[in-house]
Amino acid sequence: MFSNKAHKFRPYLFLLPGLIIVACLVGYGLFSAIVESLSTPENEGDFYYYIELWQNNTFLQALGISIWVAAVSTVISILVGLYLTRTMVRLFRKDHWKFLAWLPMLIPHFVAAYLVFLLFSPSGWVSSMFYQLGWIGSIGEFPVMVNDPFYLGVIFTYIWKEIPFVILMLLPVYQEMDLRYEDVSRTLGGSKWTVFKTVEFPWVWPVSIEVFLILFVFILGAFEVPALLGVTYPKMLPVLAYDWFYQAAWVNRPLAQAMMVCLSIVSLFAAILILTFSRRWRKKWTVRREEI
Amino acid sequence: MKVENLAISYNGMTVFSDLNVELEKGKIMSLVGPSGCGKTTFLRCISGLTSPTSGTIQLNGCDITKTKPEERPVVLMFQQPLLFPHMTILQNVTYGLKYGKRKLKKKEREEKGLAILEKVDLGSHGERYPHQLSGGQQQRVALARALIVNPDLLLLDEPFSSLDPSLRSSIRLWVKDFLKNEGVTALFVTHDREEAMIIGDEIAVMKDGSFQQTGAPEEVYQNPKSSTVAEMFSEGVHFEESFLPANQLTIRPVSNLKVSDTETIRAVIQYKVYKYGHSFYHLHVPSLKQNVVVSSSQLFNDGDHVDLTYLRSSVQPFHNEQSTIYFTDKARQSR
Repeated sequence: MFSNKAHKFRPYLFLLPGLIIVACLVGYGLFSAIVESLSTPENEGDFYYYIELWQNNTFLQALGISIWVAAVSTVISILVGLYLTRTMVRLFRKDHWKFLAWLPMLIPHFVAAYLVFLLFSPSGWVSSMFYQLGWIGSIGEFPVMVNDPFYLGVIFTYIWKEIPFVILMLLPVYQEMDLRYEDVSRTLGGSKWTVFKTVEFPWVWPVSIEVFLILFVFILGAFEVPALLGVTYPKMLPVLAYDWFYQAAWVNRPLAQAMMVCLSIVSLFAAILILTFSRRWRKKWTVRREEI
Repeated sequence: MKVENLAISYNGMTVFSDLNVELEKGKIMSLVGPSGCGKTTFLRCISGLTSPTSGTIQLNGCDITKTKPEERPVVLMFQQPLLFPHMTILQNVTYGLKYGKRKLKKKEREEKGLAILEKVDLGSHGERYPHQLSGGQQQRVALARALIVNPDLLLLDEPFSSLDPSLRSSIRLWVKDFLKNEGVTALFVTHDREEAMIIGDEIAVMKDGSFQQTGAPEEVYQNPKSSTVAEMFSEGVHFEESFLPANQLTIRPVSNLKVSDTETIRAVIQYKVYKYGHSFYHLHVPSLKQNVVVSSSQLFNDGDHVDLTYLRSSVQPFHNEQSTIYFTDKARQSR
């Protein structure tokens, strides 16, 4: 029915509905953001709002706190996820354990943030429990963990939500890993740390880098958790963008658009990096492994 | 190496119990046995990768039963070469000198690596990656990687089983010479009788988690001490309490003629092969439910019913003594 040429185009045909939606919604949004961010006031250069943005103290503070939250949440998620995966890889062969580990993924980020708020806010369940147990004299003594300037509540929410994702990504790596290399390493004098460094790490790190990029960029651009658990100053980038976008006078709209364009460029760049990285990894590892 | 009363069981299932072995320095022992008899588990116990349930393992007079695998002067070589795919051949070979107590400086490490690669005839392959080498070359690299750390005991777990037959027969001779030249004490596991005989100074026949018999290859081959050993390691037919070597059997056409001092058993020719300039008949003995290979210059056809005749005096009774097994010459003499 299909000629060879048609066969070649079939996958694209099947992807077309999805691509059209992405192109229309995201593409148009991005296009209008670019147009608006480049619509400079009279007597100013083309990139006026971009220069303005990168000199804006509020933006720079937001960028700083966003990088802090994204980096800390991502690194801790990966480390904890890696530890859980390697210690529980045999357990995760059973579906009910896997389901339990992946359960937090089913909960939307907003709900997770709300749960963290209910648990850790100064009047939350944990502080009330501590007070009832007599561990703290008053609810005010409970450390500020939500809506705090270090974004601990946000970081905690992301860690809780992203660990299952890290496990999801790393589990196949561990299940495919040839654990006999562990025996080889140990019989040749390698300690447990050597085993990790020379046997597990080479398999795990390409995927970990991919996971890092995905999570980092996602957290950098996600709105709902910092909106609920963040503070008024400094705001995280998406919250600041929303603020500027919907401010009554609309004067900051082009700035918000410029920020979104910058974030999109970072995301795009990360996506290219991820693809290049995984392609190179596949080329370098899978071929060699198959031939041995 | 001295192993005493070694036992291991998983979830209440005994893999082996009460294993006793002593092996002299510089000797190679071949451990023969069918799959699943506990050979690999035994090696893993000695290497420290698996902990025994009870018993002790001594090496050079020191008890190493509780020593971590990385701290034992023992190296285990596996069925597959298991070279690290992301490392070059030189990096693979020098792996054991990079970490732990055998750690050396990079320069020294590489010098030793190149020297041992020369010894295994792969001196020019140091910068290559494992996938660029053939199976036999990879196994030689694995051997070099095991020997570079100068182990007091080398354990080889069917290292040639992943190679094709022609490569296998050439590499095993090479390995035997290599180990002998280096004076390595080794425990070599195989299920191939011929391979065990070629490589081992000593043979230990293992079945169902215990050693059935040990001794020099010829001794075990010629004088099996039980029907199990006869079946696994010798060639001939065995009765309940005795063994008859194949070289004592003569194939004759069926006849009712009785010759004094001889016995006859009926057999069927299954097929004939030519080897080493002789014809060998594969026969089935229905009364014993056994197969045997006998050489004959007479011509028979597949499916022929024949008589296998033998002198009564050539039947060897089993002297079953399945207990402690020692491999030192001294111990053998005292037996």
